[in-house]
Amino acid sequence: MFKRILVPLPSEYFPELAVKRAIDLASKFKSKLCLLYIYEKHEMENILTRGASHALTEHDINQIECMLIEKEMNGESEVYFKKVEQIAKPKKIKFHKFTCKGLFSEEILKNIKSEKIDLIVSEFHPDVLLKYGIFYDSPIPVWIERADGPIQNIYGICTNLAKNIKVPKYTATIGKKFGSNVRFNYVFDDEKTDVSKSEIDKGKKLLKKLEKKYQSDLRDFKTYFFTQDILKYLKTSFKIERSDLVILGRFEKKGGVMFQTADKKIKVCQKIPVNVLILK
Amino acid sequence: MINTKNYLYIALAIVVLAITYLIPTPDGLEYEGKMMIGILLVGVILWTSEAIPLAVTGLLIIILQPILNVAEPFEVFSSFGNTAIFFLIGAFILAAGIEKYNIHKRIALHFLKGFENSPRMFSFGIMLCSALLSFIIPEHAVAALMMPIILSIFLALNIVPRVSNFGKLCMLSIAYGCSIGSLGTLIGGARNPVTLGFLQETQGINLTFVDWMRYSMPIVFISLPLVWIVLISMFPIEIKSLKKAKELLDKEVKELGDIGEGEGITIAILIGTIFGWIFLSTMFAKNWDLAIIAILGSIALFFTGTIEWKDVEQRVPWGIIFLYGGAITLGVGLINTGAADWIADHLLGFTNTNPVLVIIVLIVITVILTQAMSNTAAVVVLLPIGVGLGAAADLPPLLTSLIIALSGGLAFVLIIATPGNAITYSSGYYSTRDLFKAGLISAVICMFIVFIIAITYWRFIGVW
Repeated sequence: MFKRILVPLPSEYFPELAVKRAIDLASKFKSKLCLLYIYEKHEMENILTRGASHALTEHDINQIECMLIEKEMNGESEVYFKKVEQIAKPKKIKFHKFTCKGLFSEEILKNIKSEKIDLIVSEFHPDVLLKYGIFYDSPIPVWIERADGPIQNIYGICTNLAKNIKVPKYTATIGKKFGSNVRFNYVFDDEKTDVSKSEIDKGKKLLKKLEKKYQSDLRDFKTYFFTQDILKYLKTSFKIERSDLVILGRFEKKGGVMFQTADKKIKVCQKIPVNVLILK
Repeated sequence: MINTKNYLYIALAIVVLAITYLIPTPDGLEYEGKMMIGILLVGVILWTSEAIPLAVTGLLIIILQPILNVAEPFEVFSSFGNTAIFFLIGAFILAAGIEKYNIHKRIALHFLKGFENSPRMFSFGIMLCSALLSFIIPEHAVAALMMPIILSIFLALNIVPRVSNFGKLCMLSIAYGCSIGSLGTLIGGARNPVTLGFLQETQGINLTFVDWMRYSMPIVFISLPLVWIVLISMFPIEIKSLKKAKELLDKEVKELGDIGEGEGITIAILIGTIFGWIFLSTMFAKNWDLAIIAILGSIALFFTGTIEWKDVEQRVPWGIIFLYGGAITLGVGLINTGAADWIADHLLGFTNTNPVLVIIVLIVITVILTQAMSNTAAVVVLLPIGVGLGAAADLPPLLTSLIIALSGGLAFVLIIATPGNAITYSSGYYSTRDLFKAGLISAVICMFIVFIIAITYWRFIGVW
């Protein structure tokens, strides 16, 4: 399923949780691991311009910029790769490493194509990562790592707002690989007031179909049907129900497509306090 | 390019000024005082939002006063010609000479070599070195110098950004070391000369270079170790050896070589200027003002051919001069029109003229405001109000001004609070959350130190 996994390494912080998870996934799926160190110049410029422009001259700012670029491109990327090497050593995972300078999302998208990547593993970081358009732009699944540790309980979320084609397949495959308990939850979003019975039946039918297909293959397999606002569900359910990974597809809700704007991406990710795999 | 948000702030500033113009003049205030409060609000909005460059807001404040018939043009522009401004210009030119010859780098490298025995002491060395260098050159220049030295050490030690506590500790030590050190002399933090200028213009109080150090140094030397203890407790060091750092420092010192002719002359002129500030302006010659000595020192750099004008152009942030110029005229305007007293009476009347409460309120308000806007702007906004508030509680202007000027340097919490924070944050070794947590605790400790010094030491040496 995941032949080539990409971990973007932003120059602003080292995503240790994402690296650990990607190594874990790579060992389970026998995938090739690609590390992409991205130096995003404009971020640093913004910080300097906002905080120090009145005290620094253009000459000062240029000097600091040059020094930072040199440090990032020549030195820091190697520090990052060495750190990954240390983490990957016990699992004997080898990786390809790339270094580039440019816009975070653009560079990832370029590499998805050229390296034929089929999964991005990134870390939840409200200050840095989520402001990028990668979740919306990415044509491949994105794994957002929020909590370290084993994946014991996986929840695949189907909803009447999405097509529900990839979620069952990915949930079952990952569940098998990790030997996890798997639950399929169908959340019937009750945003619309004129809900027809046939729409509700459609959801229930899907769950029955999944039960039939996966009951024997998966550990502690269960299905549940909820009628609730999906965002409220995402916000409250997972902490109580102790899930370790939530798999969901892109769904539509009022105001447009989910994950379309930075605000919404952050909103959704903040609502889910566990690891999330977002499928396209 | 100005974005929509900034246009909104500009519009807000205009609306606030218009409302101030249209509302009836409150009791106890004249038209001029009312309009000065409007100009103060414009300054607060534009300095906080940075909708236009800080220097341009400074210029706007200057011209608004004659436009709104608050003061005559010659009055406002003559405040701009304050000696503090020329002291700053001279100090900036001297700093440009120091930077040109990497004198500060030489000092920093030799200094750090004295602390290379353990990572813990090395982090303290970084903080102390940043603070000491901030006594002789502006704090932002120290941050810009220290960062590359420490970054190359980080790379040699494989320090991972945002993961390594040693990385966080060292970068925050630079930022806080610069901020605390900048309190020490009139050169480090440019808000110090502004306070000097304000006291000269409005109260006729002339402070010498030594006077300032006498008031501020206890705060610097008590705060430094305490803030370092906070940092070291929050970020326990994970590395044990500095072997590679030692090798690197040795290599860098070697690369600097011997002191060259230009460097030697610049060092001699710098020592001569500091000597002049300490002795000439204090004891021997009354007309040898701080500004005159600073300008003389900078002219000496040109006479000896050690620097050229293009070196100064490259390295002196001229915009800051306009910011300070505008700031001083604002302070003078608020005092002269009685607006400062009125604000103090009406907005901070709850202090009930209790001197201790007034001191606490001034420290807290200054520290809060300095996190949100340029610390010079924060100091300038509060100086006249502080003087008014102090007068009601029988506290002398010197005391309230010192409290505000020194609390104004405690910009530890936010990135935008001071250039030192922005510069070190841009290295990527600590997060905004690290800065916030460490900054909050450090700021509270330093506020307490300022308070204790104000009610004990300053009283003992006769400030009040």
